[in-house]
Amino acid sequence: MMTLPASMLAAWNPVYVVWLVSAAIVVGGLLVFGLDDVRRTSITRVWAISSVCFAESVRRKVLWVIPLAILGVIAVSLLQHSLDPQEALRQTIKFCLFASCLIITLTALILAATNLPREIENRVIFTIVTKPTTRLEIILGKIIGFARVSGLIMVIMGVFTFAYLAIENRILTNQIAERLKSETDEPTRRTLQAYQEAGLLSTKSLGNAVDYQIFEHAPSGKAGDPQWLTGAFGYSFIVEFNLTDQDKALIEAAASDPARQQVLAISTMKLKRTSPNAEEQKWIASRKLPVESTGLGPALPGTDLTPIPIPQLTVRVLDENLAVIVPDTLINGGKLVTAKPGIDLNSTDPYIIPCVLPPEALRKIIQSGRFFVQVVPETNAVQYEITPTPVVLDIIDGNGGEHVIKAAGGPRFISMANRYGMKIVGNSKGEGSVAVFRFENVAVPSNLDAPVVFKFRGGVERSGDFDATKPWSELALTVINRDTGERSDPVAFHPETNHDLPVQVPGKYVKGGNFDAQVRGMDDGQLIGMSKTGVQLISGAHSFAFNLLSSLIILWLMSVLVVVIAIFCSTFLSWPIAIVLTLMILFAHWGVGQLGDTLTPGVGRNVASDLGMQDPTQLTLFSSSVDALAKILTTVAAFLPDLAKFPVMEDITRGVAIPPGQIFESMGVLICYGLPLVVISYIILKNKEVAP
Amino acid sequence: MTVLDDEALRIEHLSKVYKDFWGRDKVRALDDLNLTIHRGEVFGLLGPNGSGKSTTIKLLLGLIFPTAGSATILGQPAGSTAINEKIGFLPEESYLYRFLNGEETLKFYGRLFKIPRKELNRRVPELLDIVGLDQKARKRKLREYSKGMARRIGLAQALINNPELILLDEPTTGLDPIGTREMKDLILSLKAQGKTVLLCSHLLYDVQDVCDRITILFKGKMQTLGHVRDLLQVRDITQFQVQGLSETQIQEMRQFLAKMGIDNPTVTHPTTSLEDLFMRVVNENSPGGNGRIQAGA
Repeated sequence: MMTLPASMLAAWNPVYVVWLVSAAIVVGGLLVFGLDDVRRTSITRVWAISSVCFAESVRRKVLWVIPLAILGVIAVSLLQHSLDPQEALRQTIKFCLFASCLIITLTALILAATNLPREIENRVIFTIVTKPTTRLEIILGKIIGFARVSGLIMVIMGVFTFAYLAIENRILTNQIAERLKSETDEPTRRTLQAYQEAGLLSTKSLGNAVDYQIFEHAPSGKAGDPQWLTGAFGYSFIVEFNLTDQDKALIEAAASDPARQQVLAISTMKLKRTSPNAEEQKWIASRKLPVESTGLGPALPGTDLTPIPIPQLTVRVLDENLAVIVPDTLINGGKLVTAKPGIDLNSTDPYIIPCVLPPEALRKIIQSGRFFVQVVPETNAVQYEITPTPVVLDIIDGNGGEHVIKAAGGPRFISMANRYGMKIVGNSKGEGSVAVFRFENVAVPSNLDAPVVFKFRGGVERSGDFDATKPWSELALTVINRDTGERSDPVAFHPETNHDLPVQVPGKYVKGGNFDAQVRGMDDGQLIGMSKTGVQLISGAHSFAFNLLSSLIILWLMSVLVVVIAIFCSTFLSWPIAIVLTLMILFAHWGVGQLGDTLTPGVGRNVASDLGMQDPTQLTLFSSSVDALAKILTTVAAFLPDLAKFPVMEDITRGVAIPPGQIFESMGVLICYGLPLVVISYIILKNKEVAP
Repeated sequence: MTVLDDEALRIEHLSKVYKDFWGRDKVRALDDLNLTIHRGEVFGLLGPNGSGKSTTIKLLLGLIFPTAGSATILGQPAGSTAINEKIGFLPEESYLYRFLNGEETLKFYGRLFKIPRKELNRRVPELLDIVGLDQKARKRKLREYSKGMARRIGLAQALINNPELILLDEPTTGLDPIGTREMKDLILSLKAQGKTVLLCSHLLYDVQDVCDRITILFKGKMQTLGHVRDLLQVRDITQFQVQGLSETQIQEMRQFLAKMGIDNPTVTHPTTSLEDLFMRVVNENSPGGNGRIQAGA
């Protein structure tokens, strides 16, 4: 059987493939089946058919869902009890858009999926296809008709949403004024004042960081300076690998001959090993970490002979979304990677810590081509030095020869995450870990003589070490302009968990749009979780009405996609099955995304072992079947439309301006999937006997 | 005019076999049909239920595809979109959008023919008058129409494009005797306008009254074809019809025939058809006496 080279497969980005296939279907389909019909297509006929679909929907009282949805929104928003006025308003926006989304997409789905089968069943189609109407005009007419219905619902719901929010905004603004007269809690006062100044429906455009890392120690800023990580503190780093064809061939050769050849992920790092204190010893004992004695025989007085732990690492292989590609059980035999014991503690030479990658793991990384190796320092009482080139892949061939594959870039530092994102640890001396947000070429406000505003959002947790007398948690933001090298003074601020907080910094530090924003916790016992959008630069203010319009346009584009898919399914299925298939097509990409790690290679083996399978033949058969199924599922899903490209609620409910590019991106998805489905629907209908 | 120009419809070896899920032959609905219909002719397609009449119509209109054979309508392949410009079709039941009213229905179908708005505004009321739908009926939704009214609006939509060939599938089904008579009159008036009509029915009297030629289908095969008068003529019986003969004169006629060697001739008074009787009664009792009763009134 002919197979495509692995490099070629790796280079096939599903997005490009989808566009290519889409264009091929549209051009090929119309050239082969419908050039004549395309020439005959008349706007008058298409519009006439669409008008009938529209009239049918209106006269069948489909629009009655609108007052029901409006009543639902009003009831739910009256029942909510949010103390934060902006949160309350944003919740209402969410309810309104959710209701709009629900009725528009469901109406579009049901109308479109049932229309054609019903017309065939009750034979109304007889009087349409016996007129000079092409099947292409019928499909287009129906799509436009139901798109008009969605559009009408969208306009009515949009007007209601805007009016209802304007009323609620007025009420909440008055309440803020009242509360400010009596509010004594300083952070709350500040938040309310910020709301009052900016307006509850304020919409901002935000500059986002392109990269976000957590450093245990603030980076020096000098290229080549190492970073030290403390073992078992939740800090780690990742490095990216991009395999060339030669690399893949060599790895493939090693995977095919495991008896003579080997591939190792080699971490090279200096280690500072100290004698563990009492608490660390407790941790070491509880985690059963390997230890070694530092001397022989009885200890001399004053000599500390506490066994010290042997440094260990966890090595993982991840994809670009940091999802596991190779199951942990396959790496290094499922064990932690351990440094060679017996090395002189005072040695300043780097340790070489090899991790064995077995053939199964190698095949998965060849298949992936681009992957990330995560290295997690695991041992208490050990400091690990992370240089700019901390990990390489080393292929040792049968003759003792070596081929080294270097990482594509330097290490990126990350930390353990909580529900708000990766965590930094606060320290009252300002020596805690640092979150560094890297901004590149972001749009900055036009007037940099005035302070610029950053928006902070994160989650603050407190441990027992936190000073309970302090009324708030303090953080500090420092901005370093990479173009000028200027560094702002730390700006202290007091965030509330999961609330937007504006932080002002002098404008000159963001000039040029290339800068780093560093966030530190300034209290002991403080843990602050942040995502990549935890710190954003407010670069402009926009009209809420315009933002709502953008959101509704995206919603309408999504409903048109629903209509196209539903009509496509209804050309060859009965309407109930067409509805089910439409939902499956719409949600498959999202659903597989939700399954995430569950579908990574090796899932079959995990499932088999969970089921307690012992027989090796049975186990192999079962696990390979599950793996194949998972592979088919992920591959098919990759080529189906991604509903995340229609972010109706995401930005607007955070008060963020929807970028105009987003509408074009959604439109791109609609065109990419919609046009070929229109052509396929037309071809199916053209070759279908419509007389039952 | 060439022979081909004279042909409104030509069917050659047309067959249709319905298949089951596995692609095996299930029913042979039409078997090697050959037929030519001339322009200006009213042609009747007769046969019992399941004989292949509707299958033939569906094949001609492209609603289903032939297993073998071909058909041309006015010189172009049957089922092509282009030829539909010149065809009018009345299905056996009025399969129309029930949420539209009469006027809207005709305007919708008119737009499918790209008839200009001005022309459509003129033609729609004219057609509604022809099929006998009054002002009130035109504004009512089709779901409120009686079966007869639905047939009338169905016929109007079939004529919206002033077609050259009209295919009527069971046109009198659901119509009362007056409607039936009007339908037959309309078919004859269409013929008078030079239009070709293909009529498909199992109501033999209707066909007999209006058709020039007929064919009878049975089990998918054509059983007979010809002019109605030729097919119905009983060649070895001669009938005289004379008005106002007395009993004595009848006796003299019998004696005269006996002398010629014709014994026991059948002598009866002819009966009128029930339809004629009905029409006469309604005519005599209608205001104005024209027998026309507006549908929907």
